[in-house]
Amino acid sequence: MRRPVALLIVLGLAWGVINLDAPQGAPLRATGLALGVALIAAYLAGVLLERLKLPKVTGYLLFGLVCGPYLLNIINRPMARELQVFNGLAVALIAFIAGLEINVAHLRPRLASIAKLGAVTLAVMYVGLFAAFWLAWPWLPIAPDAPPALRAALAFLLTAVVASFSPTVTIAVVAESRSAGIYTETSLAIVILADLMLILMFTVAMEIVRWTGGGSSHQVGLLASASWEIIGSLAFGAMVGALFSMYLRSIGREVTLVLVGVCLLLSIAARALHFEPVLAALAAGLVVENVAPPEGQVLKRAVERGALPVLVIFFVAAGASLQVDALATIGLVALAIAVLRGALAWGGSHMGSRMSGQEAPVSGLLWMSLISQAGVTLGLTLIAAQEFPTWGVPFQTLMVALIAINQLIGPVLLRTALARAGEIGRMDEGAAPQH
Amino acid sequence: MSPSPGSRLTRETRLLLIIITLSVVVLVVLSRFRFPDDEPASTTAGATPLPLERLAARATYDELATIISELGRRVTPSVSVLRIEAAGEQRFVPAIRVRPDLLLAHVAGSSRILAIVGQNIPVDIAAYDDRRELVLVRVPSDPSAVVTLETGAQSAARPRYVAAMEGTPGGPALRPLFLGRTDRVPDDRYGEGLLVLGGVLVASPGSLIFGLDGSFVGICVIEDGYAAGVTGPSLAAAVAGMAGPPSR
Amino acid sequence: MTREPLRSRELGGADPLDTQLGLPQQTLRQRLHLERFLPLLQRRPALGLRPGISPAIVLVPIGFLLGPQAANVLSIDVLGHLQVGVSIGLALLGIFIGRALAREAGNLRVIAAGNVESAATIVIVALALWFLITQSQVPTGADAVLIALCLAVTAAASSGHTADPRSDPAARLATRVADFDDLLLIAVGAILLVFIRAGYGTVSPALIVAPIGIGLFVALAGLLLFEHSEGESERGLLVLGAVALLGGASAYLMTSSLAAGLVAGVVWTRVPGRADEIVAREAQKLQHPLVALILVTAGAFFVPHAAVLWLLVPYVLFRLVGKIIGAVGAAAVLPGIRPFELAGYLVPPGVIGVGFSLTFMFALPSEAGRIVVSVAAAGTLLSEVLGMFLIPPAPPAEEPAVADAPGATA
Repeated sequence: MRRPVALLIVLGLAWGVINLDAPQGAPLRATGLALGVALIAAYLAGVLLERLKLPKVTGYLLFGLVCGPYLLNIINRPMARELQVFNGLAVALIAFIAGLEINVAHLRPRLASIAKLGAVTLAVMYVGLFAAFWLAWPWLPIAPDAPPALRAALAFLLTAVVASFSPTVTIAVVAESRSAGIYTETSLAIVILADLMLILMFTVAMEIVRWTGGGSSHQVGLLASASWEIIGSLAFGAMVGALFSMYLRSIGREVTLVLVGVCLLLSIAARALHFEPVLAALAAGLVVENVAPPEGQVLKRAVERGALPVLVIFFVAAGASLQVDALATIGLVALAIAVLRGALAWGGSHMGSRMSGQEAPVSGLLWMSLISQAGVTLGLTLIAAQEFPTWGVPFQTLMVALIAINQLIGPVLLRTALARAGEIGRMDEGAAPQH
Repeated sequence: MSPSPGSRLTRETRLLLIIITLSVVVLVVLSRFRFPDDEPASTTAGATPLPLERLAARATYDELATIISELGRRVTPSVSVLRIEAAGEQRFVPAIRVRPDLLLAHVAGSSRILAIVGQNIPVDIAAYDDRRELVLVRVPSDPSAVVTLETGAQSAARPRYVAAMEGTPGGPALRPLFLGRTDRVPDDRYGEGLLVLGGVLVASPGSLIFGLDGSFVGICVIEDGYAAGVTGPSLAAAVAGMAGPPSR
Repeated sequence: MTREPLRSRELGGADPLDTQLGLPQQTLRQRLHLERFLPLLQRRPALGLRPGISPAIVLVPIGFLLGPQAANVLSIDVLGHLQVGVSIGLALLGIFIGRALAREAGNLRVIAAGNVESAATIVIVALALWFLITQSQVPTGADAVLIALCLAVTAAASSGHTADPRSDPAARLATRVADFDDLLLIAVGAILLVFIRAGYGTVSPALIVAPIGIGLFVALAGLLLFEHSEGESERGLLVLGAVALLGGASAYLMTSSLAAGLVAGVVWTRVPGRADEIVAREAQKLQHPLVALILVTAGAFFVPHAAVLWLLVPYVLFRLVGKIIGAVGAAAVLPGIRPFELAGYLVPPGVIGVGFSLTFMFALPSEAGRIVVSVAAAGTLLSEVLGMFLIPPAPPAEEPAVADAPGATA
């Protein structure tokens, strides 16, 4: 009873403040209010949903969606955009946590089988999706009259983007549910591997589209661009991580402040230099955890404990910016693609598990961690839409609708899989002293 | 056998240094291919926002309206409107308070100042600079409304929105104005030269230009086929020439 | 019940994460053999920086260098978005002041001494600056009385962490006086903000009590939530949410976040239960980043305006005079302390004055706002430097900031 009353007080206060006597320009100062309301109210909504056996993250997402600009408009557009400001920082912190979770020495014996599993799963998804798009092209609302060469190129581009997963959402759900174990590790590794593949495939697909569409090829070589985004991101992140480790070892003061600075550097500076922030932050976390273990362990526990507000804001912002209007216009096609994608993820992961010798829980549940899609996919879609506005805009609308569906379903499935694997809450067991 | 703390420390520090060195080498090598013609940093410079500006969410038109209204609250107390007659037609020109008792406006030499809108006092022209077409009008002293001309030019340092304040019969009115180019062109009347604002229709002559943070950018003048801004420092120098240096 | 040192109000000792990580086995200082130079600067440990100088001395110049007047990394657009952090930071400081007040509510002499001292400073600085502005006709972009009052409020603050509690009894007493001299300035500042808003049009009378209302509502929500929260993560989230609500709601209405935070802090401390303890522990994790943000933002807003250059030195000097006269008054109320000794301890202003100047800046007309924040930031910097020479050095101890941290013994 206490929590609903507190929720009412918080919402009542927000309502009262907005309606009291706000001076001119007040909406420009709404960020703090949006942040406070989102943190407390969304968290309480998450707790409420947990009682209904649904993941808390879905509660945060739904809170953002219901209170967001498309429905109740309590979190209006300026507020939603202000919340997005924190997203870059959130993505960097979430990926940094993932890096801290990956212990290379521990994972090394299983790396080959994980790579095989990932390769087979992705191959099945790529082949299946490409074939489906090629065959169904006249009915897809992108460029139905495209000549065969361009049609093949566009189908490949659509495949690369549709087959992508969201490492951020996966890591966030894992961090929020404090899961650890073989299923968690394998899922994280596959999703991160897929992220590397996505960058490579998207770059190749865009280059082919440029070539077949009669446009001029990008001035920077394909290999150079992809290697900068993948290897460069990892190198940049490793450098930042190593410098941070040295700071921890040599100075060790104001670590919270410096950590915020590191995340800012990883999200903003990385983006400005065309790096992929998720990869860079992941590499930074990996270096801290694997090269300077004692500091890494303490930092990991502290960051994990302090990450909850960041996760809540991340999901509320995602929910508030879900473009549900895209669902209304193109929902059925998007739903069909989502079903096909899910089915291929299921088939691919089962085939991959058999070929790589994976056992339960990985073999039966892996597909459930391959559904979420979010920011990276959206960003790539935007790049395509900006460069090719004629077919890029309907392409973007379709992808936005697909992301909306997968964003709502993905976390629920992943949380369910983590629960079935019995790995929820086991992160805390691992954090206990082991000697 | 576990190594001693000292040796472990040295080994790990050495490993970190190797990682840093390798990362730098990889980045330098890759940047040669990724940015073949120029330095990595310069590819994102220019019109691209500064790295931290990516933090700042971009405003929609609705928010721009809110920003302009907030700006109006903060700068309107420093601005009065002059009703003038030029070539038989009446116009309204904004005038900014540059000294406690002096308003500055840009008024063509052939014009006549008829009144100060909303103030029932006779027009007292303190000085007129016909070369720059600037007029100083003496008004009752109000030190609290003085605007400093020397600051704020950096608000127009790159393409961005600013606000143009124009005169109307009801008082000063603000509207957003996008500055597409911000080159400076030399002009022997003004030490800092003129700031290119755009085509002639960008703002009416004599409009006051403010940055969205409230800083004064300059006054709009129409030159040969384009609108230009006379920047704050140039105006300050002109005012000092017309009225003498400010008293302390 | 063990009481944490009052000096944790503004800067809270060491960052909790630093405490968990422990000290590096060999610090950079030891590697570079810097010990021999440290006595020159080792005055007060604060914000964990070594050598132990006040954070304002380091962070305000860094803010200026990153700000629009220099590197423009913190451009005007970015600074606008940092406003949220500033208001949340001020709400947090308000909570700590409220906690200190509630814990010492019975000690009326100390509270009276603190307020006598700040009242004297407000009156002296306000009168002096008003006289200077009107006589010189220096352009300030707003009414001279308003500017003088805003600056006087920022000048009245003294740093609660100034005196090291291990120094001597006078230092301990001075610390407590400094803790309570913020009460008056928070009240005057909150009223002043309503006056500033009234200058733009009619305001609802409810606005005067808005910070109290915000503080009470958030405090009530906090009481319902904090004690029944599960786990450290959840507690941290709820406390951050409450502080963000205090700062965000105040910023939205352009009222005082400090006052709202103070009310909430008093309620959480006075109402029986563990809310106070939970807030103290969780809020401490946010303290250093937010304090750094306030100081860097203030430094970034600095403009070398004629009025700033004209008012800066008088601001510092009359603040010093105000503190001396205020200390004489305070000593009359609080026997057992020498006025000049107390005045010395009260010279460093800490963070609250700068924070208040930022609140004024967002409310005042643009030029006036920049002048207020510039004078307050530069004045704080100069006063902190002055304080380094007026306050006796802390007794030597190895890494005192960590040793004093409340969590260190847990």
